[in-house]
Amino acid sequence: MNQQEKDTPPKWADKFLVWYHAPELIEEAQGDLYEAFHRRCKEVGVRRARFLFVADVLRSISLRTIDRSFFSPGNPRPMLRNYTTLTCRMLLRNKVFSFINIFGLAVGMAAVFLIMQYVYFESSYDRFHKDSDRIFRVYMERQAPNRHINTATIHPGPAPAMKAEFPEVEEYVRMLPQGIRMPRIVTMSYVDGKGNEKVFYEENIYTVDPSFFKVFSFPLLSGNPADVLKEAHSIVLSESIAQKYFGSEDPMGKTLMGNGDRPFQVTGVFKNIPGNSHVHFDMLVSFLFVEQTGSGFDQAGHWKWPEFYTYVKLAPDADVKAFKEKVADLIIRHNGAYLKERSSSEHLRLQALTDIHLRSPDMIQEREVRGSEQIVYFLLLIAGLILLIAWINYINLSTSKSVERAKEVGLRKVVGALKRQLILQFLLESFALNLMALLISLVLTWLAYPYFTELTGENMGSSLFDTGLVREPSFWWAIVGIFLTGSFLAGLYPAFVLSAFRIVTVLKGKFSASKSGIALRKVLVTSQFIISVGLIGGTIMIFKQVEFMKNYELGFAKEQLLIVKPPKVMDSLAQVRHESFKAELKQSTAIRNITASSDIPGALITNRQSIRNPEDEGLQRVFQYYVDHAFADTYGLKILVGRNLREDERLLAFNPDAEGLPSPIMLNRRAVESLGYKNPEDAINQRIYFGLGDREWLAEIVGVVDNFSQQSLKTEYEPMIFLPLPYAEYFTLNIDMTRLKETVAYVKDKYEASFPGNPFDYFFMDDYFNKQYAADLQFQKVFALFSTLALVIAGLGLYGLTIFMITQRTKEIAVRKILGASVPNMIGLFSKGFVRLIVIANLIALPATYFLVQRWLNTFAFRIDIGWLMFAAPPLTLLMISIFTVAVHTVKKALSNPVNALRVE
Amino acid sequence: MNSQLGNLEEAVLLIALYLDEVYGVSVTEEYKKQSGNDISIPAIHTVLRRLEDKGLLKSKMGESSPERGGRRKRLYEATRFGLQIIRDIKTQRIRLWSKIPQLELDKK
Repeated sequence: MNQQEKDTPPKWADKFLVWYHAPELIEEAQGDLYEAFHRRCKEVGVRRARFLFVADVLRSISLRTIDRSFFSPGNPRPMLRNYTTLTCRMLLRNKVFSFINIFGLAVGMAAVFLIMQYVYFESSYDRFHKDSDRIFRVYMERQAPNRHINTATIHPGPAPAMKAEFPEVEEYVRMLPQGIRMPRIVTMSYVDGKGNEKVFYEENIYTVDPSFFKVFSFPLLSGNPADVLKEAHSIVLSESIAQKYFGSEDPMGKTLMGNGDRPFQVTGVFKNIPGNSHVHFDMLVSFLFVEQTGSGFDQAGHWKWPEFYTYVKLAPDADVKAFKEKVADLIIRHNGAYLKERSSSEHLRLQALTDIHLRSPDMIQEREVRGSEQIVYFLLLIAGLILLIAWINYINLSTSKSVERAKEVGLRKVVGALKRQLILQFLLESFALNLMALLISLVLTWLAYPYFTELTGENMGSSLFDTGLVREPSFWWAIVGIFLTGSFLAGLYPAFVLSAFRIVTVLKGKFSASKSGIALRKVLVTSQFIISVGLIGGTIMIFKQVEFMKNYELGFAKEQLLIVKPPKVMDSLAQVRHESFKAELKQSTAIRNITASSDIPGALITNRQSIRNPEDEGLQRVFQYYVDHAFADTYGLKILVGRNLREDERLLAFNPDAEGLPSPIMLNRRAVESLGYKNPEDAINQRIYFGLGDREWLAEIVGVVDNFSQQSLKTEYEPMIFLPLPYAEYFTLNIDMTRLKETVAYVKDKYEASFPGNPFDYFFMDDYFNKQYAADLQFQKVFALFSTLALVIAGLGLYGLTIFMITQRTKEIAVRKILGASVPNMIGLFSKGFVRLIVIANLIALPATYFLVQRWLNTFAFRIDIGWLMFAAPPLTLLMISIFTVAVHTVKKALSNPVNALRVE
Repeated sequence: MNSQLGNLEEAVLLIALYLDEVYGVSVTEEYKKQSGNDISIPAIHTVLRRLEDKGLLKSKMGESSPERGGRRKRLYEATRFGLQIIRDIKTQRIRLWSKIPQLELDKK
């Protein structure tokens, strides 16, 4: 019995049941539900029983069970019906008012919902891994004299050492993108049963430890996670890659040929990597394969090879904080002498897997674009502001309308309406309006979603349901929250203001809006202006910075450059073919220049070298270009001092006959400075060493070129070395754009003649380089979109407000007109109020915007200065909008016959 | 004729004929037990009320108990009309069954 007393059904549901139920039926219904509840408590537990009770209460609602008196007069509840009628009438009568409010609210809500999707997606990165909470990426904090950087990659040595030394490490995996000082697989081919061959270039292959699927849980469609990468010739493919090579055949056990001569056997197929993974790859091969090729890959011994992405999975009970401290100086313990010699240090740092996408510190060596937590929350803020503007519109319009409705309220009071009832009525109006807006906004969200994902550039999935947000109860709570907040926030103030009128004053017609009401309206309008000023200013500056980056003098000429990729399969004849291809192209008059190089601007250079001054032990890391003599001319690089590389000059480093002879090289200004030469002139004809680790070669600096931006203007200039070696990863053609079509056809022709059986592929340098600004461009677009929305809603609010203001002053206008006031005169008079608010808003908003924009611009290495435009454009835009709105209405009123206005009453 | 009874109505009417205490909870339990299908109490309430409207059931208020929160039960009872209707349905069904040739049935 005691127990039963404690376990009661939810009170609110019980009350609700009694409230709506017809009194003659309540005895039976409530009693039965109680009885069932107590039975269920014993059978299925209290929680479930309470849930079922609520469900039953809701299911009991039917036409029959609802109290009849709701629909009949003589009871306080029938008023509900009256209120509903009134609400409908009100919405229909004031079409402009209803439209502005519903449209504004709907758009605002839709913006919030869309951005919530985006925020949810951005913060869902890598959470799909089982144990994602105990997987960490190990990165490195490197300190050298006047250099302090984080690298996302570390040496191959630390991971095995960590596992051997610390029991906390359950498993580790290292990942190395193909092509970094490894036997490089560039094409894969498959010959089917009928002898047909399929060959494709593959660029997204990672070499990984066999433990890969023990750390990560990318789902495998076939293959056993424990042993898919066990063999040296194992290869695991993504679903779409498997489809590409094998079509509908079962890929398992089939053989793919790497570079045409190295067989791999398909041991597993994984599901395509979802958009919210921080790493994407098409194929995985095992490090065992590298060992087998005998390329000197000594895993454990390597502490000077910072190219490996390394992840550890810690034991469930591991003390992460203590572990972080323990591993920090692992490299120093193993390789301290070497580091000390170079007066640098390297510390290992741990970063939670789920932090990689949004919360990474600045790092080099990241292969994929990371998100920005700041931008994500910034967008959320903007969405909130849009909603706020819409809410303000509602409050403003309803309070200004109070003058019109004052008589209605007065009359209601006369016939006996209580204050409580009036409040209820106005709240109901607010609820109805918000509900309509909510429904429209859900449809809008659904319709706009595909376009929105295109705008954000994230692979969020094509439908609203792909991100999984709609399955989160918190999302629905947020919707309910926004709805209730909107209804109350926007509804309460008008409800109280309107219901507080004094009957006699109102009916005498002496009513006018109260002072405090007008003051509040001014504050609200000003805050709308403040938001608008910030958004306009921000949009302008983002546009300007992106334009600036696109047009910046990069140090090389990116126009008129056509890039062609040669076939990557290298055989003994490749060199000859490349040369003859170049020679053929030079025949064309439309091709001014042609060069072969290992990299091009805009690409992340994967090859690095170390250089040092003979007198100095300190190694300087530089990015390495293999180029031919035409590189500098084709790209329009400026040679500061010295000379260009000559056509017959070759890198002598790998040539045993040239032992001890210096190779001619060029450096860029940054590299020369890093070697300690104050002026580029000092470096000319100096001999330096380059190389990594134990092998070093002599080189002579024959020329110094000016710095150019290898990557976007977010990064500083990098030090670079140019080695004369015909190593064609790319051919760059400087062409006459006026004869583009025939030139491309010509190049294609020659390409197919020189490299039969290979697909011809080309792109333009400027497009390629500008791709780096895709993220900024997208930010710009999203920002511009939401600013426009905010402005439109704010503008609509202003429009509505002006209508009411001018309508109230119809008589005044008439009188003024009779007394001889001109129309511009009156426009000036009526816009004065707004102008004052705009000035105040700008005084508040511009400094804040300045501060925020300044912070954003500081994330760029090359940035614009905040000019006068940001200070001039927002106030001017607002002035134009408001004066225009006022003018339109004033003119309309002023042109009508004043007699009509005055005769009323 | 008022004999157009739904499936659920027919089942509830039958249950009402043999249960000791016929009210929302007991009918719900019995229906679940006999048919194996889940059903909610409000749904049974609706059926009971509809049957009462049609005159197949009549009801009176019963006793209250503490576990019902002091609320009384509404106890239902089949009327003579109800009994007649359900008999009519039975005979009609039997007549239809008899039309089916024995042979056909056996074949199946």
